[in-house]
Formats: sequence, structure tokens, C-alpha cells
Amino acid sequence: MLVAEQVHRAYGARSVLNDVSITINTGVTALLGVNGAGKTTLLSILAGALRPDSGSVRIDDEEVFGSSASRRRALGKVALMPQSATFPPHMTALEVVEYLTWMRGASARHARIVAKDALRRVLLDDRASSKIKTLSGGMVRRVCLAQAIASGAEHLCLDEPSTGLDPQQRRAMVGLLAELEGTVLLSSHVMEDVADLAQNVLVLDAGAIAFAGGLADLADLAPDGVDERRAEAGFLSVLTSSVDTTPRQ
Amino acid sequence: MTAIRAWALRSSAGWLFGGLCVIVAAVIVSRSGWQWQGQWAVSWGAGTSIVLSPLLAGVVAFDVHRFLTPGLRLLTASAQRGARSVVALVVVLTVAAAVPWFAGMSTTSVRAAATGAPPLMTTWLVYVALGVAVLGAAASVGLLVGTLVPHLLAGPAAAALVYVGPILVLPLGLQGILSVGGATGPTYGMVPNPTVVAATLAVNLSLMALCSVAALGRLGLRPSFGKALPIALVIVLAVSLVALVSSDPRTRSLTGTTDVVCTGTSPETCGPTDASAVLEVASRDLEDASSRLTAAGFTFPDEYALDAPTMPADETRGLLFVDPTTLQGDHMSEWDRGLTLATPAACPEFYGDAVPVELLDAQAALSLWFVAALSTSEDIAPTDPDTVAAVSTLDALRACDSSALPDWDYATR
Repeated sequence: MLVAEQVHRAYGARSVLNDVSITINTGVTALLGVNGAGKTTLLSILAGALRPDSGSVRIDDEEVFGSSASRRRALGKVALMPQSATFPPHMTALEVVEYLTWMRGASARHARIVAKDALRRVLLDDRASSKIKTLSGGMVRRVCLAQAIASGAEHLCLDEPSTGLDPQQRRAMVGLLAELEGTVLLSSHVMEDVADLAQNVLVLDAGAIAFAGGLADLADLAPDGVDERRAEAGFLSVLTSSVDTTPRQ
Repeated sequence: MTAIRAWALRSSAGWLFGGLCVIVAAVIVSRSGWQWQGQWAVSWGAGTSIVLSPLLAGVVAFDVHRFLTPGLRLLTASAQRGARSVVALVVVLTVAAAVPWFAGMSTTSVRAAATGAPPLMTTWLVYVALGVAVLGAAASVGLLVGTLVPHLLAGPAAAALVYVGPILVLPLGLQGILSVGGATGPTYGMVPNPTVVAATLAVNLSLMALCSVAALGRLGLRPSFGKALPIALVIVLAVSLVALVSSDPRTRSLTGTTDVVCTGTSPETCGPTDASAVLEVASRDLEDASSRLTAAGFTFPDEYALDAPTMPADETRGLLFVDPTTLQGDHMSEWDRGLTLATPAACPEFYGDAVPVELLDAQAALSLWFVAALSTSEDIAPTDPDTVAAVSTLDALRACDSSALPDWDYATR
């Protein structure tokens, strides 16, 4: 279980997250929001990559930003798939995944084994020896997912995993994500993906949680008369009501 | 794949190591006389700061920028071994730079030791330690610059900073603070100043730690010690800087040793123990030369002492000048031999505040005359006016008496 309490983060004078408190349970949870809503910042903080200005994050009761021992245990349970999948271009796909797996605490031998397996799961086993610079954008996104899978973490924070992919690649990516187990928090702009994958939804608007509930609950917020794409309509409805009631930073 | 293996294979370490090996090999092969340069081996230390440090800082900054991409930075910040993997990159590059340098220094030292002129082991070890500390500091500066400058310019910027840094602190009386030092000439009888060495080590190590902590903080890898370590490091840095500023500039780099050894009989040549090999050469050459000159009426002292800080003024013995780099086979250079013969006494005037112009001019003239006289196989005529004047000049120099100098200026003829 991922728990954030009163998490606040600002970049200079601009607040990006305003005392966000959430609990993420097992299953796939979609994190929705417009550009600049704070999704990437929240995912980075939940994965321990970015330190909040205040507030706390716990992963299975281990403080992510607590003592060294607690942080080490917490980081062993979470993996991040960043939005920016830029890796050293001269490293091979296998080297990247293997290196990042080792960096997360695996032994060198174990890292190699699980890296190969993760690349197989994302259908890149035949390109494991290819350098990153020779892979397409979609393949690099899959390498990025592979490194998260290879970690063996029970909690995955995936930042727009299908962004920038063509429709075919996107479908393949959704298929891969559907096979993931444990706690998955994924941000996305693509409501179809959300509808296919998520059981729960968080809507982040102007650094605050504007909605938290099931996908069906979000669809229920769609205006009367909307019969198709109700979840998307519900999302837009949340944003509209949020604009009306919540002062933006 | 561990970080060490990943960076060894994919970073610039291979190019750096290979390139430096070629340069070091070329330097060793292109110069002769290393066997006499026991102390010169430490001049490799200077190369650390002048060439190697900026190069290493630049390469580290370049690789940090190149490899720690935005995506990788996020993943590094959220990984258990994130800090270790970043440090591993710096370590791999530092080792790639330090090993060729160390090999060059060791090679010259071994060659020197094989011919009886080894560098003092303590001196050698001190320079190795200083070299590693200076390289470590430079690499850490490169790491910090690499995290601060999001551009390929990170490399040149770090190199320029490390190159210019030691120059910028000169007005503060901190020369040598970011360098190993070393020697550009013979350093017989000299050892590194222990206070300055300790302070320089402390400065570079604390600088290395501070830059590393700052860089890791920039990468989101904030260590758990909070502010305690940075504060402690700043204190160590400040104390070390004060120690350096307050040290005597004249002995900032090297100070004298007291162990002296003598060899030969006519004349006897004395000097610091690390100069024993050149003392033997000098004694032999001076005996040959003085035997020819004595027949022409010259009188030489029985003992020459190497011109070194450990040799105080003493009118009873001459000053021996031997530059190991100008040795020709097993012989002194004619210029060193002439200058030594023309300095039959370590006059107190040579060590005073006022420059003894007349004595030095006479010494220079007599030195030239000896070079010319010994360059031919002809006998030296005792009655020749120049010979007579030269004998009188030598006697005056032995007495350290400028008023006894004859009216003779061979140098202007």
C-alpha cells in the first residue's frame, strides 16, 4: 500500500502539490490531470525519486524519506517508469535494464537473469543486445517498462507509459500493463487506456486531489445525456467543478 | 551488470586510460637520464595538477552529463544504490587517469633506484598520496559541474575551472593548494613540508567530499547525515586553508633534510644521502680536472658540498653544482664542473640578503675560463696573464674577499 500524507512540493515560488493525501491499494489506479497538474511530481515523490518539501510517504509502512534503513526497505518495494525515457545511447537494452536492476539492490548475477526475463516480457528479447540509440521510441518505452518490471517491486509508478506511441504500440503497451500484478499507479492522458486498465482513478488538479474513487464513480459524474466515453466526460466534469470551487495557484 | 563494470565498459574511461598510457610512455621514452632523476620522478606530481586534473575533471563532467540523463537521474534518485552508482562512475574515471600517471612515476623511480639514485621513499609516497587527493578533488569538481551544467559544455567548463582555480587563489597566498607540486630541478636533500602536505591533503579531501555531497544532493541523493558532514568539512577546509596561508612561503613546498653523506678523497664531495650517486661522479671528475689545474698554480679546497638547503655557509669547502639532467654519461657537464671549480668556498655572502655582485661576477668569469681551459688538451701555461689572473681570482673567492679580486674580467673578453 502506497500512502502519502500532506505532501507539499514547490518549485521556487510555484506550488505544484498542495498537501496531497492519498492511499493507493493493490490493483491499477490511474492518475489523471491536465498538463502541469503535478502528476509527474507526485509519481516521482511516491517512488522516492523526489523529496517533498513537507509531508510523508509510506510504502507498506516504511517511510520513504525516513531513516536510511527505512528508506532502503521502502525503495526496494517500489519502481518508477519515468516519463522521460532517456538512457545512455551507447548502452545496450540489456545493459540498461541490468544496471538499473543492480542499482535497485539486486546482485549482479540476479540482475542479469531478471533483466533478460523482463526484456522478454516486453517482447524485446531479440533486441537485448541493441544499443539504445538504435531502438525506436516505442522500443525505448518498453525498455523503460522492462527496468521497472525487472525490479520485482510490488508497487509500480508508471508515468504516461503509452505517451508517444503509435496506436499499435499503444495497444501492445496496454497489453503488457494489463499483465502487471501488485500496486500500479499510472498517469495517462489516454482515457481509453485508463478505461481498459484501471479500477480506481485519482484526478489531480492544480496540485490537489480533485477526485478519488472507482472508475465507475468517475463515469457517474458525467453530465446527463452523455452515453459514450462517460469516464472522460466525468473527468472533464471534475475539472470543471474543480475550477469553480478550488482556487488555482 | 554492476556500476563499475557498466562504467568501465561504456564511459570514457577506456579512451582516457589508453590515451594517457600512450602519453606517459612517450614521455618516458622521449627523455633520457631518468636513471639519474631519482628526485625528478616526483616532478610527475606536478603533471597531476597541471595536465591531468583539468583533463579528469572535464571527462567526469562530460560523462556525468552524458550518462546521467534526465530519465536515469530520476531512477538513480529512487534506487538503493543510486549514490554508489554515481560515485562508481567518478571512481572508474579517476582510476583510469591515476593508473597511467602512477605507472609513469613508478617507472622512473624504479629506473632511478636501479642505478643507485632512488627517490626518498617517504617523498615518493607523499607525492602519490597528494596526487590521488588532487585527482579525487578534481574528479569531484567535475561531478558537481556535470550535475550543474546541463550541456556538453560541462566538460570544458569543469576543465577550465580546475585549471584556473589554482591560479585564482594565488593572490590569497594559497599557491600549490590544488596541486601536487613536484620539482622542475634537482631537489637533493629536500622533503615535502609535512605541515603543508597535511593541510593540502585535508583541503583536497574535504573539497572532494564537499563537491560529492553537493553533487549527490543535486541528483536527489541526499545522504542521511543531514548537515553535519558538510559543516564538518567546511570547518576542516577552513582550518587547512588557515594553516596554508600562515605557513612560511619559503618552505611551502619543500624543506631540508639533515642526513649527509661524503665520498671520494681529493676532493671529497658531500651532500644529502639521496645524492650519493652524483657525488661519486662529481668527485671523480673534479679530481681529474683539479690535477691539471693544480699544476698551473691553482689551489682547490679538499671538500665540496652540494648546493642544497642542508649545506650551510662554510668557507672551508667549495660548493658543488650538479644538475642530474645535464650529466653526460658518467660525467658532469663542463658547465657544472667549471662553476663548481669557480666556487671554492661557500661564502657567507652567498647566503646574505645583499647580492655579492663582485664575487658572483668573478665566479662567473672564472667559471667560463675553466670551461675554456679544460676543453683543450693543451697544457695550461702558469705564466700566461689570464692564468695568473684566474689563480688570483680563485684565491680571492676562496677567501671570500672581494677586495682581493684582481682587475680581470674574462667574461667580457
